[in-house]
Amino acid sequence: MDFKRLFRYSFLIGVGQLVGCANPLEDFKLTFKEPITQGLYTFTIRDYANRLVVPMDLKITGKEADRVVNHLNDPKFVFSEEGQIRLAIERSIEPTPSEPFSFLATFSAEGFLPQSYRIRATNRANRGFTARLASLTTRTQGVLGMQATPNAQGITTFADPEGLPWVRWTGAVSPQGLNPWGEPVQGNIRWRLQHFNRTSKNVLPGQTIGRLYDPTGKELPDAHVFQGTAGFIYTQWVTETEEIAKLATPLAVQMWLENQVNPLTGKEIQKGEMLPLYQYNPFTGRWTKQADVVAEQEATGRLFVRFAMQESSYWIVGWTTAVCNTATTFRIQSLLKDVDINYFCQYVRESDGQVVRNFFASMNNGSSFSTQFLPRETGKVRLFIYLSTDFHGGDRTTPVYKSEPVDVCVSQVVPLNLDLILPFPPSVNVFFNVRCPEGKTLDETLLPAQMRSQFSEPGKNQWRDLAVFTRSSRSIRTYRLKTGVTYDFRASTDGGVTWPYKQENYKILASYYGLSLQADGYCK
Amino acid sequence: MKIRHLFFFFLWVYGGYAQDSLSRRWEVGAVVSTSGRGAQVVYHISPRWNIQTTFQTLRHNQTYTIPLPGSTSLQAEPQILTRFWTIQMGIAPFANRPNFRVLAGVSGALRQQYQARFSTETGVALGGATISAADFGIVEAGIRWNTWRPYLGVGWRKVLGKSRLSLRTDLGVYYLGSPQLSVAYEGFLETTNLSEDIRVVEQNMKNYSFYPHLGLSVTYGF
Repeated sequence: MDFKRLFRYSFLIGVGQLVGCANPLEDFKLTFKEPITQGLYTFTIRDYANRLVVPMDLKITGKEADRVVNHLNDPKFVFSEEGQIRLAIERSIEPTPSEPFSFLATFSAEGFLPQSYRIRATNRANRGFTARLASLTTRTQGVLGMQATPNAQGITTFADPEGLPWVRWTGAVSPQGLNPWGEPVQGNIRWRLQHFNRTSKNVLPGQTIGRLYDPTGKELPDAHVFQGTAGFIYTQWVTETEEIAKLATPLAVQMWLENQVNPLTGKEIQKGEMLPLYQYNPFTGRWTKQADVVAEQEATGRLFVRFAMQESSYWIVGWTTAVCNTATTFRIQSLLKDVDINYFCQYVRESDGQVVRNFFASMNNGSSFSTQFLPRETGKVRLFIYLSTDFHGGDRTTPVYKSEPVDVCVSQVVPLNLDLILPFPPSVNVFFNVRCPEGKTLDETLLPAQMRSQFSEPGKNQWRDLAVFTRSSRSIRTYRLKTGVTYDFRASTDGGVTWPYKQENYKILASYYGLSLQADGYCK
Repeated sequence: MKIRHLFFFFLWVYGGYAQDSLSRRWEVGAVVSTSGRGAQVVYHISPRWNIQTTFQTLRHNQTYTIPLPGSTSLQAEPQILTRFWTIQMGIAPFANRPNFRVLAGVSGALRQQYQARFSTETGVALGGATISAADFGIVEAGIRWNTWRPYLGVGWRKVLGKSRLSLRTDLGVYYLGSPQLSVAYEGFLETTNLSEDIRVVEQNMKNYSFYPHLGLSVTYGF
């Protein structure tokens, strides 16, 4: 072989290689992950003033911690800019009562008391939590976080940053803890406590005591709402991997009280006065009225009470008033159907014209609402309905409808005929529009399985749900938008965790709005 | 340099073979090639055989702005850094042309970083909706071939007059194996299956296995 022939062959081999290479992007399609829609645990993290807490840390522990994923089935956990995070059970797992799935999620941040959630799933039902973190340094909305370690005698004292003690308990030397399912828990216990002052009754779980039981488990009559509190704590005891619901032996608790007027007597609490004690167990969701406790006084003049505490719970020394469990139900008859906005309503006491409740309610034909949980002494009320909605505002001074007076605690159904009163509000058709280049058509299979959209007043970043599009349903009618008004819009393809697609300052000129994307990747 | 200049340069180097006497056993020099720049050492075992080793490095960092619709743009930052050590055996297959060599050897990658980073300062317009810069995030794509790469090529050498200096030209090809792609991202792409979808691209590129080599070197004999 001479030189020229060798060169020629080398050249041909080189060119042949180049010709043999395929276009790298041939058949390449960027597809979306299918978000997990069942078995989701959505946590919204806020402080007690409803502010974001940043930076936030999440620790997942427990036997199956490594099988907890995010909503996209990935083991990567990032808080959204709204302070929300979604944990999910790995897609392949199907928990059952005999094979539950469990883990402990602990949220913490610098300067705040950590908050843990023990999850034990027996199915793939979704759950949502708002985790309120209590500041360790500044009382916020009346709430202060405290943590303490028992001394050698098992005495544990919880004090505020000024060193003033609020709670002390004894008996915490190597206590045996049980988890919410009665199983013994091993490991060092971290004793956490949130202390609420008299301004914090609005942060009570559920606000209203729907069902109240005595210590023997017997249900007491009526529902109740708190009128005031004098001592109020929430305890949480956790180990590295477990939350403790109950101790094998009770702790002897001393809880100091605030100077407070007893709303039942109208006088400041006196030494020797008997005070009601309520317990709310977050594991069972049950309110219990414990035996009354006596107000004692120490040498400094501070009042305190003593009681035995075996369960990790909310413990409240306070006063309640009875509210109606049975109530009048208003049932709407109207021309409205599938209207996704609610109308402003009031219950107005008949005796003195005072407003006893403000609320929004759907006025769609067939919807209903009631006077449940109004104080029994309210007597009769009238329902006022206004042409004002939770999305557009409106006149809240002149009602368009006033009902006849009804007894708040009487179980009855009152039909309301609003056919001639409520006009059909204007609507806007919203659709998800993918624009393909000429010669190409939309390939629906490439679209995300679900696309959620939200809107806000321009620049305010106060987002409200607008629509949920699917591959086959890309158009909806909504009453939440108005023509002639400018909005910011955003869309999410991952079930509402991230919102990368935005359209700002968009004025709706006609009775339709299209969230448009020009994306060749969706076309074929 | 125009193509015809390159052609004449090759002719000039190729025509110089007759002047070589191989009186120097060692040569050291500098090299510039499609694999970067570096240093070279040549040892002549016999008039027909030689062994040579070369260290080359290549670095390229520059930001490119890619215009997109709606006055938006994408920043692409290639980050290329390679360091290769090559050892080659050369033979003069034609007795009457001792300066023409066929070279075979292997190259080892001490470092191979072929990456590109994509981001945006303006956001990306999608014909209605936009993706903000923060939501777009950062995308880093990388490609990697085999660490060890066989080489086959030819070389010409021209001794410059009666000096100890020689000019060398090498032309050949490295076999790299099939490439492996990697992609890392944060931002809106996290909601996609890009990590899996990119395997289609990897499959399409499985025959991107040969890297052409064109090198020029100046050596000093002793």
